[in-house]
Amino acid sequence: MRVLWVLVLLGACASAQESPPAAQDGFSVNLPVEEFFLDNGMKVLVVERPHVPRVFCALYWKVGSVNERPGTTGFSHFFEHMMFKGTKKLGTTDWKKDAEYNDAIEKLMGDVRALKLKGLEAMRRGEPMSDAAAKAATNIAKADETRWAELMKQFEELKEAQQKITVGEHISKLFDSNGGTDSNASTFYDWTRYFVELPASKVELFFWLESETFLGPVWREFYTEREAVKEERRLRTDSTPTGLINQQFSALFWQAHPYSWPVIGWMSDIDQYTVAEAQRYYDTHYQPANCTAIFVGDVDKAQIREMSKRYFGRLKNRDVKPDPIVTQEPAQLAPQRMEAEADAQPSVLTRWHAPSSVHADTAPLDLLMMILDGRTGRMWRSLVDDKKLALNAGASYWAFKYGGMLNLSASPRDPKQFGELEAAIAAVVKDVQDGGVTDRELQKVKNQSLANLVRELDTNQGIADQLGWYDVARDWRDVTGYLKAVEKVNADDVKRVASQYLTPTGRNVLVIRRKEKK
Amino acid sequence: MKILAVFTLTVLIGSTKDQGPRRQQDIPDKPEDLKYKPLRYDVPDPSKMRTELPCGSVLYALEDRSLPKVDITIYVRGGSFWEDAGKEGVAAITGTLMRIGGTATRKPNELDDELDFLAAQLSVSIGETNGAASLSLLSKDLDRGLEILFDVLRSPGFAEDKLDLTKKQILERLKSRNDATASIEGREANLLLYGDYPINRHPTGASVQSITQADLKALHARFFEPWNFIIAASGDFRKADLAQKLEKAMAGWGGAKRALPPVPKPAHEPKPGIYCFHKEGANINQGRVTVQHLGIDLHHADLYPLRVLNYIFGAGSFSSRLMQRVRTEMGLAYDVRSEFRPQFLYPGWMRMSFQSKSETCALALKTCLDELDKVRKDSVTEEELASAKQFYVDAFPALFFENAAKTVATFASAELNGYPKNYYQTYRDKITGVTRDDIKRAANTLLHPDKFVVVVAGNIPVIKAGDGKVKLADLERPIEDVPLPDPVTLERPKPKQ
Repeated sequence: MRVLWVLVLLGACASAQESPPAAQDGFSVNLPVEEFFLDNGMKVLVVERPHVPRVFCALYWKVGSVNERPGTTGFSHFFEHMMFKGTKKLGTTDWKKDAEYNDAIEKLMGDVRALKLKGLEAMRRGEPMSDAAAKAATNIAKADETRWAELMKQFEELKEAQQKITVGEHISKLFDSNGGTDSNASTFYDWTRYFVELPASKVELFFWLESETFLGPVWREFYTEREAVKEERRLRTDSTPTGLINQQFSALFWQAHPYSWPVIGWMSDIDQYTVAEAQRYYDTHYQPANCTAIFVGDVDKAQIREMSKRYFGRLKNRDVKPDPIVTQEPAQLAPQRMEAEADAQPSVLTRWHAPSSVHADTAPLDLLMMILDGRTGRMWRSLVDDKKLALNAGASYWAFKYGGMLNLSASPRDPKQFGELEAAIAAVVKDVQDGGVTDRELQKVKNQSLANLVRELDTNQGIADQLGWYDVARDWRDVTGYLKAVEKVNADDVKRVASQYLTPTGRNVLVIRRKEKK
Repeated sequence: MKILAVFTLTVLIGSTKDQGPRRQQDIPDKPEDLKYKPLRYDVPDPSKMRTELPCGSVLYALEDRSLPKVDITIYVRGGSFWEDAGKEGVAAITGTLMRIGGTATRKPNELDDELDFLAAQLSVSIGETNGAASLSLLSKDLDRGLEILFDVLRSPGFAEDKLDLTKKQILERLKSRNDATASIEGREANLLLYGDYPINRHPTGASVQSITQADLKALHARFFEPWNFIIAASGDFRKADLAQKLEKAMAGWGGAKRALPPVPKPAHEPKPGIYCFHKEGANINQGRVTVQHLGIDLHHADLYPLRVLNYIFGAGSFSSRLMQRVRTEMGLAYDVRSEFRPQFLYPGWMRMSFQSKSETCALALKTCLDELDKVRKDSVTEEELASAKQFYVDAFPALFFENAAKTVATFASAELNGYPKNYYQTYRDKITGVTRDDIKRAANTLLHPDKFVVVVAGNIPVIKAGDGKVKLADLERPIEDVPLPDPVTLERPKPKQ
């Protein structure tokens, strides 16, 4: 069966109401996007969608944890937090005095950093360490504890004095008090994005605030924000049942690639972030040619063009170029295995490497994993329904700019049967490698690819997310273009990639058993 | 699509530079100096979407041809509030089994095969007082999808092997109830606040084991009839056609409208104090804290002052006072918020919550309580009030009417939950009518710091000891250690003699 719709996303309200979308023989989604570039190289994408008088506005920067190095892990994410702290014009009532405070704090925290580096040396030697500092995730030698406490007291005093002239959360307050919703930002391996949805009449506020932010950030509230990020790490990773285990498994999975460290960073690195690194990061990565701005909603296209030029046209590129990502993940020579105990439902996860998301094998791999996933997928049918070894089973595929992961996972019915369960997963893999997939299975997941995309395009943010993610990793045209690649995949392609990527030596297994009560 | 979004095209007086290219000099020095055209947004009219079908169901339908898909949600009044003692969990299991247990004429796996091939998404879930069945699919498959949806709703098969699997899945999940401090915090907060009340009657190993196919059939027969449905539909269809199709699908089904027993009022008197729940584990370096007492329902006269207060105090994300103080200035938490939340069928709650490293939980708790005292004493500033009102007025379309699916869901749930008449039509006026005095009154009559029941979950000895400056005992509230219950039976160990 062929899917028979060309999806016409846009059209004037009136005509869209009266005529149903044209039925044609094809397998595509039409998403009219206007693209233009500013003189400084910044890319702007605009999608008109006049349903509700709102516009989703986003900036996607091609920088993420992949651009970090040991010692600065998590910095992309921390930097993203700092982009809400303001400039000379935002976040303070007196920028000159504010600069004096920032300088004084920087000098003081330089002394604290010296103590921390001394602390690391003391720790290497096994000397006594300060418990009080350890509670704040800081390494200070016991011998320096008093000095450290003194410096931190001075820091608190300076911070409180500065707060009198600080306009806290100035940017967020301006967005919120003008009807902004979802004002936030997020960071991942390959990208960092800043976004908000505004009333259509107030889009200029986004241009004003974001161009100002990236024109001249001030490193204000830097050290307090470092503590907030430590709390974020405790919340998302440390204090959860399996956060630390998953983090270790990722580090095991990636031998060499920067994807091996967590996006939020190692705690010891977070504690050592410096303003100098922030300035270097800004100079290197936050250049307009490295950015795509996206506007989706009830836009006036001419106005977006004019404002983009007037506001973002002010951003200048610099001579520094970001270091290209050259590290290639070496071939895995032997299967790897990690067995952990946690306060969590028992589970087994099997993971293999996949190529970059721009690789030609992405579409067949995507369809393969969809055929294995879901309640009608091969994993569930075999492990849950037929063999009755599992309570749940599924498959997933994560494709990033420089590599990907193929995951098969299941929870055992009986935790004593991990061996049988793993053997059954291996049998599912072998079955698809030897026998391939059926035409009906293939058509099912092709239908799902189309329907999933249609569902993504039902909100302004959904459209902006699709454009942003594709733009960062490959090309925004692939939001719809990818469906063409999907349509072309045949059963032989799926069989081939199953054999090529799900190899015995490339296997990585994570077993989690429930921790027994003492 | 029928949502009427109208911009007044009035050009602001004084705004003369709209013609010709503009230069960087045209950028105002302060963002506060930006001038905006006035925004006019008319609330969609629910009466234009609403139809009463002859079968007794209410339909809210909104055509939207922008994508070739249809979304239908059938809301049903009913849920775990009406479960029999000893059968806790039967409502949720009935929902799951309606979805995965096949029908009288369709085997479970055949039904799934067909839906998945159509790339249709069908879900059925039953919660505390409401259930919902949703179907999302491409519009070309609508007829086939409706046939399956109503087969599932009218004649669920409740296949025994799927019931057995579901019970095993739930029994395994019950074991995880003390795994995360977040689950401990959420469960214990409700237990301390509402006592023996339906929201606290959780499934146990024994209650789940006892559930039979007959129990599911009885629960299904009680709630799933057209008189008890409110249907929200949006997407690529003609409204009249859809109404006809729905009526046909439900023809000859069900009896007359019946009343459900009313939702009881909570009778529990919460005992103020700090209740500590210790979680073992070397990784537990952060505590979770909820500060709470009982709140109001949606019909309370001070609903809007409380809503605005909540936004300014702790619900307005980074703009809120709690976030500003606890996170931005002190770096004590990543997330801190208030939730002064009304419920529609029973009193809601007044809550503040945060997560902080074990050592600074006491300090962060003290800070939250101090902030609450401040706002009770001094109310909010005119500037804060103006900002909050502007947020609600400007964000209004996004909050409730973002797209066609959300618009019909908004009106259908309002009717289902008995929202006051004209709730959305008057929403913005009621927000803009709030004064500082209203807020002060609400803060003083509806918030009672002496009544707070505080739930602390995490590494309790470290949390109690504090950071060397503030310890938990400094808050001068009774502190009680409560042992965690067995996750499956929910029985608590007897205190040691």
